[in-house]
Amino acid sequence: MPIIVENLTYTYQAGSVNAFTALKDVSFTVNDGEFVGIIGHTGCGKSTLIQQLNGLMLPSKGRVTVDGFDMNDKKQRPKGRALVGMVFQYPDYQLFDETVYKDISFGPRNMKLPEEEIARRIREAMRLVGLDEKEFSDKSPFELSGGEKRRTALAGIIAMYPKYLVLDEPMAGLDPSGRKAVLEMIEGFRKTLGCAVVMVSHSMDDIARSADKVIVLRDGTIYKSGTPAEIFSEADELNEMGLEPPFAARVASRLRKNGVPLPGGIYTNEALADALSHIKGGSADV
Amino acid sequence: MFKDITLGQYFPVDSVAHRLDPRTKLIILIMYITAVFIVKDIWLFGVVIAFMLFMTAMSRVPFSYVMKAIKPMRIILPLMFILNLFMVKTGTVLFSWKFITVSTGGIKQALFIVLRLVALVTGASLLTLTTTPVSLTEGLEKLLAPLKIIKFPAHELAMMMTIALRFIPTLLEEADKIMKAQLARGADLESGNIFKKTKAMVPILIPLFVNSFRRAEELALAMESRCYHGGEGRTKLKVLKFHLRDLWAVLIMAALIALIVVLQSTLSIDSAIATFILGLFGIER
Repeated sequence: MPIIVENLTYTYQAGSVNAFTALKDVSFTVNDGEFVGIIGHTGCGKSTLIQQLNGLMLPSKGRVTVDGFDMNDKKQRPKGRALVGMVFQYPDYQLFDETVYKDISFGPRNMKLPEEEIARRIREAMRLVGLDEKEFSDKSPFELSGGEKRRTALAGIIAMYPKYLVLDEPMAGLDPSGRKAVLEMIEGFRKTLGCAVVMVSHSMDDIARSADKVIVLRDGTIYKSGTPAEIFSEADELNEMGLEPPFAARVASRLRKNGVPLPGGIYTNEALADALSHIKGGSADV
Repeated sequence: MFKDITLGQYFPVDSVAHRLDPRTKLIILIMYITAVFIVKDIWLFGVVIAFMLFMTAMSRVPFSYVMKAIKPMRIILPLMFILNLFMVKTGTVLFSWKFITVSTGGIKQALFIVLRLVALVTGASLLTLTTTPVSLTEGLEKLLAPLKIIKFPAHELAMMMTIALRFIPTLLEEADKIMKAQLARGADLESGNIFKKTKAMVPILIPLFVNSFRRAEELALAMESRCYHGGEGRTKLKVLKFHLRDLWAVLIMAALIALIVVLQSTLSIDSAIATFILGLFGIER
């Protein structure tokens, strides 16, 4: 069963002079196991949108249902929320307990799972995020490095075994190797837990590499949605919106302008490399 | 959940009250508070309330907006009223049942407490609604400057207030984010008794404190890297200046206090004042 967002409209401070409509008539579906990337400008409503997915914010108009649970309904909301794991941009907003182990256990404990199941899940979650259990279990989350904090925060959500994992710019402020590690972790969760992923990111390259479906938000409405191939092959259109297309798409577009006969729809480094070597191979034949 | 807090919220319109020097406004507020407390007569309190309405009109802040300041007191006000109504036993007893007594003195006292609180809170919120936090603390610093002779840290106090006021919205926003992060992990903040609820606040308060300390350290570094070294030799971009309107404002306020004092000493009996006030409106008693 999917997450279904229907005609969602959200207005901040409705009815006051400062009223601001952040989302206008947004509809989409997150299917089981799907990887959905959400891209868009700062202030286009991305963060507002994903907070609707687990009922932290409620629609002004429209409806969000998670596996059939209506998030507008106060009684059904906790059941829906339990299925959606939400990772915020900064781990500092959620780490609080004395030790890493206890902090990760907060979510599973709130789910009222039996003690041995909690312990098993913590072990699994720490393994998935690459935190050594012996080394980190008894450390205070406040003495960790930035990257380790992020891993701990992720583990705290993963240990709840969410069916849908929602991530708000999980790679913000990380160096390239950190970004890669987090992205691989997310892929790891998908394989191990079979969860669907909804990820907001400014990195088109990351989205291009992992997403099954991409949603482009603009001024609170869905400007475009489709497969990465459909979205990213139109590099010029993305440029126009102030979004930077993936590296490979930019290079391909520039090469085409310079007269290199590249086919359309190139947006990953691999595809670009293949196309270029094909041309080279082809010309060598002549 | 933090939407009710209007304390320290500036309402950006242009009005006489907004243009007054912050020092003047602070002095007027002190005088106004004095006026609120020297009034011993329930009828005369009408004058204070009328003045409060006059100030609101001069500030061009919508009346409903000023009244928002009372909203957080919606529990304490009725409670104070009821307690005073039933507990004060002076004047004529109107009604008595077991330990509960309602007397004329009680009614008067209860009305007084509520009116005073409302007058104080609205008056103080008018100050913050018409004055930006920065100019408010600047005014305070200037007013307290003479106390530097006795080593009173006027500048440091003003700077701390500026920073505290500046970070109230940031802190509220952050509390909201932390709360969401913990709710997403299944934290239950609503059900249970008071002990359970208090315990449920721990996962929110700890990150809030940790982040505040971190931010304080970063702010100190940022200030020092811009050569901040306290108030010594520090100059202002906008130097405060008194205008004619400031003199008028203080004079009007002083006249109000004088009026209250005179009326109160000449007509000390409630009924006499009542007759006088009603007489003003041409009503015979």
